[in-house]
Amino acid sequence: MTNILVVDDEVGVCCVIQHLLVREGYAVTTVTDGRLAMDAVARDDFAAALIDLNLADMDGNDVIRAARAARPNMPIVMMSGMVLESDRGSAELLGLPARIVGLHRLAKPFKPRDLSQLMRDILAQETVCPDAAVMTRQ
Amino acid sequence: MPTVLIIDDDSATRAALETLLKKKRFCVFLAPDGPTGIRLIGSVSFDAVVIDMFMPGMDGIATIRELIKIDPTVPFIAISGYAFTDKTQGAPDFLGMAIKLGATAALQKPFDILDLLEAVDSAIEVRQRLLHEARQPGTESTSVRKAS
Repeated sequence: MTNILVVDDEVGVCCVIQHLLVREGYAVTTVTDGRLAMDAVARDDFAAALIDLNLADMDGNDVIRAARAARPNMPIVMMSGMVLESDRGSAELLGLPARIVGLHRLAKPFKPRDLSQLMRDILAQETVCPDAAVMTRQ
Repeated sequence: MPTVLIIDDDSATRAALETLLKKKRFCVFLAPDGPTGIRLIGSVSFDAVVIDMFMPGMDGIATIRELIKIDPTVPFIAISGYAFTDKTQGAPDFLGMAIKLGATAALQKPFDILDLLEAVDSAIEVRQRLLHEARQPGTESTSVRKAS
């Protein structure tokens, strides 16, 4: 079963996202702590990771960079409401090269069907072209 | 499957509403207080929210005001266990206040199950209409706002 990592410091938000994704047939690992998230990424192979930018214990950007370093091909979805207030792309927000592998964004509050569609799109991309996505989904 | 958030400090009410709505094929999420509910609303756009008016800390009216700031397209239903409608006693009418703030329905506990289901169905219709209108060309979308 496709395993997805969800990182958000709000337990309730993790539970909601987990419920929505499990309903879609994914296996979900939730983590509410940035350090534990980095440990999980280093230890386990996830098909994708959803990471909130505003974590309590550390900057979500740092978790994303660490996850990118540990798993260069793993699609990452950065979750935040703040991205909507900027015209800059996901990569620019993180200070990463503009063209980066598999970095996506999901604006909060998101509709459940948008989450489902995004995950289907991301994982379909991975299936079709495993080393793909030398692109940024905006 | 429509998503419904229930914000109520009473665990028995949460459990009863969850059971009822799940039987009707709704995807139900629970929050035991206003701040928790508001954090969830800041992350996920629910199809309807049921809010108890009397909760310790952040009450239902304060919760509604925060909800509107985060996502004004989310329809909400106010529920209350107290009939504070007697203005001669100086007690505020919280359900009336909730309606003025935009509640699609206000139900006095104990309410009829069918009335709640009708209220949730109606709220989801409102939601679908608002989303449809927001998608029309030339209509300003209300879904872009600060969260998290």
